[in-house]
Amino acid sequence: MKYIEHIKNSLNIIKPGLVVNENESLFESGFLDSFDLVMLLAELEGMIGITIPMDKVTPESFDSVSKINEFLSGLEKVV
Amino acid sequence: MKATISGIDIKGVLGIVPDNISYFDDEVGNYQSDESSNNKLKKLMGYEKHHVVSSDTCVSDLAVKGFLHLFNTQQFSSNDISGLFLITQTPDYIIPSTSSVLHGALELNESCYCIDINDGCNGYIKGLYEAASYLSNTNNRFAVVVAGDVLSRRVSQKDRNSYPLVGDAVTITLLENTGSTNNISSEIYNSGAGHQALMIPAGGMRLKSSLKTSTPTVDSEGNIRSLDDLVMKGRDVFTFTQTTVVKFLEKFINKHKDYSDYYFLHQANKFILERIATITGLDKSKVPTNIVSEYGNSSSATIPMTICSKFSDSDLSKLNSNVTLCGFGVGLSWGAIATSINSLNFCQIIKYEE
Repeated sequence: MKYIEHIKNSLNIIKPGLVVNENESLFESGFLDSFDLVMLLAELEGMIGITIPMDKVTPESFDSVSKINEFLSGLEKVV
Repeated sequence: MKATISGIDIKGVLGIVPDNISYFDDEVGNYQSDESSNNKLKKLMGYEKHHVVSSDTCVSDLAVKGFLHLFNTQQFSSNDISGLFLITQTPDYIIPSTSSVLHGALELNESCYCIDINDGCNGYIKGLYEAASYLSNTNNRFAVVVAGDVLSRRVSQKDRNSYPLVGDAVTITLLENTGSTNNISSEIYNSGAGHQALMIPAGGMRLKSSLKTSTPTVDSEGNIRSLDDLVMKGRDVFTFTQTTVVKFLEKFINKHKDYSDYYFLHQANKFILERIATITGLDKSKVPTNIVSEYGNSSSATIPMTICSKFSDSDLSKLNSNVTLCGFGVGLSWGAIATSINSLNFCQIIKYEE
């Protein structure tokens, strides 16, 4: 659960007032668009202090708060 | 494709932009997105202003303006040009080629070789390679690469994915067969499987323009465009730049370590350029990123526009710069050139009065 707060804070910056549960779809549901993904990446990178490798980002890996957390945690193990 | 051509030098670069400027802040009312999102996007992508043509200005209009400026300032004459390589995705007509239109307008010699290359963001790399090959094989002295687009005419003003980014510009690059020791080392790659990532679906033979194709519809992100307009799958393009392009550029840079004074990359947008620089470990002071915010992304024209922007205030006669140029985008296509830019005869950006 290490990055859950970072992700929620980032989402709150991008979409103030957006309320989603951790397993709710962000992109498929239409809460976020392709530019929001870019902004989410930028916010997360700034907040956590890493550069997220895009070759590891898939539509599925960024489609919910819990999946993003899982992705970032997995990334940490790789790095 | 990999090739090294010797004895050819870039002798001048001119950018021509329409004097009509559109500001992102004035356009946000066209988009469905909220103010907060627009402000963040502006900062992240570098959206500030972009030069766009009026409704009837064509690539050849901007190019003629540039050539007349060069002829009048006695940089070279129409008789000097033995090859004209025109890179555009927005030709004046489907038939004939825009290079033929220019040939007529400029009264070039009948022996001048003219060809259109339909390409965008990697088009300048292809154009330089083609023109250098031509000079090397024919032993002629001068060739020009005319690269640019008036793409704003084919982008919906209600498409936030594309319109704030797009700028119109045409550039003229003069190449001379000097017999010098300078190399133009190029690598060019394509992946046509990704051709739908950036496209104008209608207007060609696959889907002719009609009342139906000109009817705007709303996409899932609230952008309004028709099939006659450019559509960019932003996420696919972004992933391409951050994977394929980054991996390619890292290898190219390592092979051409001496060409490190500047990295003139296609000006996709500020965020993409800064990420490419970060991931490849390039010194950001050597990677200009200002073109999108000052002029907009003008497809094949952005690399020469960046060169103009960087060197226009320099003492051109004393330039001695080993540079890497890199293009990437529509096709999908990507490539790079390592070469030296020395003692240019001209290097500036001029305005086309609408």
